[in-house]
Amino acid sequence: MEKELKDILLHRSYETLTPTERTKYTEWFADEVEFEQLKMTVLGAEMFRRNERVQPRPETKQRLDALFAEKHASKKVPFWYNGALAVLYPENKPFYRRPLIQVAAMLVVVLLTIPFLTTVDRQEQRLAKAEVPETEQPVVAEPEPEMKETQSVNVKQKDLKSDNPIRVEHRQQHVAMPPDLVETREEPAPEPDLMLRKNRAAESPAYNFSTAATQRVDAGKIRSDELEEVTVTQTLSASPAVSSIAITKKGMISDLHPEGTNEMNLEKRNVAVPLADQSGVLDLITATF
Amino acid sequence: MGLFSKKYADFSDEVLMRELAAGDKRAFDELYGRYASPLLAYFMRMLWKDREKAEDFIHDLFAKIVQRPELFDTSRSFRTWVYSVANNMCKNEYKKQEVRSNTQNGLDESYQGKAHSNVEQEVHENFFADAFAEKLGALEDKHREVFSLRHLDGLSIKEIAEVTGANEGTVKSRLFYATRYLAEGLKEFNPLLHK
Repeated sequence: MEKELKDILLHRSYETLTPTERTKYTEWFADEVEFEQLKMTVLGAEMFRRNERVQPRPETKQRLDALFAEKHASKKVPFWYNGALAVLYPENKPFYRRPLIQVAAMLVVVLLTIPFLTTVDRQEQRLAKAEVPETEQPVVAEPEPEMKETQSVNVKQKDLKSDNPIRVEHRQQHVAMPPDLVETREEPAPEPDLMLRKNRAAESPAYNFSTAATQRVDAGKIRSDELEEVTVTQTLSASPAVSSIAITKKGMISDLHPEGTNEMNLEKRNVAVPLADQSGVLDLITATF
Repeated sequence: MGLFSKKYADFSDEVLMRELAAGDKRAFDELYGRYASPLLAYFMRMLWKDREKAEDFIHDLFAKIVQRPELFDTSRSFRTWVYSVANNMCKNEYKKQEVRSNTQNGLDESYQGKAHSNVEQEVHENFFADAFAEKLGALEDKHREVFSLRHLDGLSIKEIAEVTGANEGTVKSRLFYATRYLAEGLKEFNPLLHK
């Protein structure tokens, strides 16, 4: 019986049926009496079905379970699927809810996390080293107790197109220059403030030659015998352009490097300058002591 | 051993039968949960409200399913098949009862007596339902099985035809007769019909 007919029988009366519906179900009821008979039958069936809901006894199911186990007794559990594994890896649960899978997942997460944390520590250490200002190192690392004063000497080189002197800052024990040729100016000790150091670096000849003219020395008037005692001890790191003296000669290229690694012993100015003068490359000195 | 657990509740009856045949206990449990109660009610209707006999029939039916799952053709509907088996079991029982009634001069006290006494006990609880059950039990087997399968078990005309082995026209005719018979027996509960 169609569901529509059952709904009509259970919820409507014969008077409310349309002619179309009466025609449609002529096979089931021809008049009101037959409609009511059918209605009673359907009502009785519904009530009967509601009342007859019965459940089999548990003993019936137990006997069937025993029969099923006997039938499929040959399919034994594998030897490796012992009690512990049955608890850790129960097959009746989704794989992500099985304890063995959960423990394995935790181990994977931990193993993947530890190297990552180690990498972060290394990065932090590297960043900490990068923050140390380099300008402080020469002062601290190379203290010279015999050094008495710090002077800034500006040397005006011959034949340089720019009138701006190159300024270098160095420390010397003895300055062998005549007072009329070399003007010295006391400069304050380097301040620890990094910004101030940067400002000073910005005033260096490498950045602005015009602002560095405090003391000038005509390089052409410097004699080698007057510079015997001069020793290069330090240069400005903020001005790499003047951090070394380059002496260029045909067949010889050498740097007078403040670090003193030169084999020609060019740390000594009394060696380097005469050599440059003798070679006619004094004008190629790109920096002064 | 699958990664995901099987959702047996979503499986069709036919798939569950395949799993059962392969030894899957949970497939058997699912099938039993689906059909044990309706089949028990069916057996009780068809076997004169004999609860013990209906329980035995349930056990026998599922025992056949467990021991001979290959009897089921998975290309067919399991519902139709299992009701066919149940219907055949009832028919065999009818034959047994017929033989007994012949040997006992037609007197089988346990045959109708239980049903009748049960109905009498429940008259006061639900008079209409009991009267319906009584009329349903009084129907011929062929009419009762068609009416039960259609209105109480919800099978379609086509499925009933497969279960009973009759053609659809015959099923409709039997169903129509059973409906008229029951309506005639229950008309006293309808004031309009009683007039």
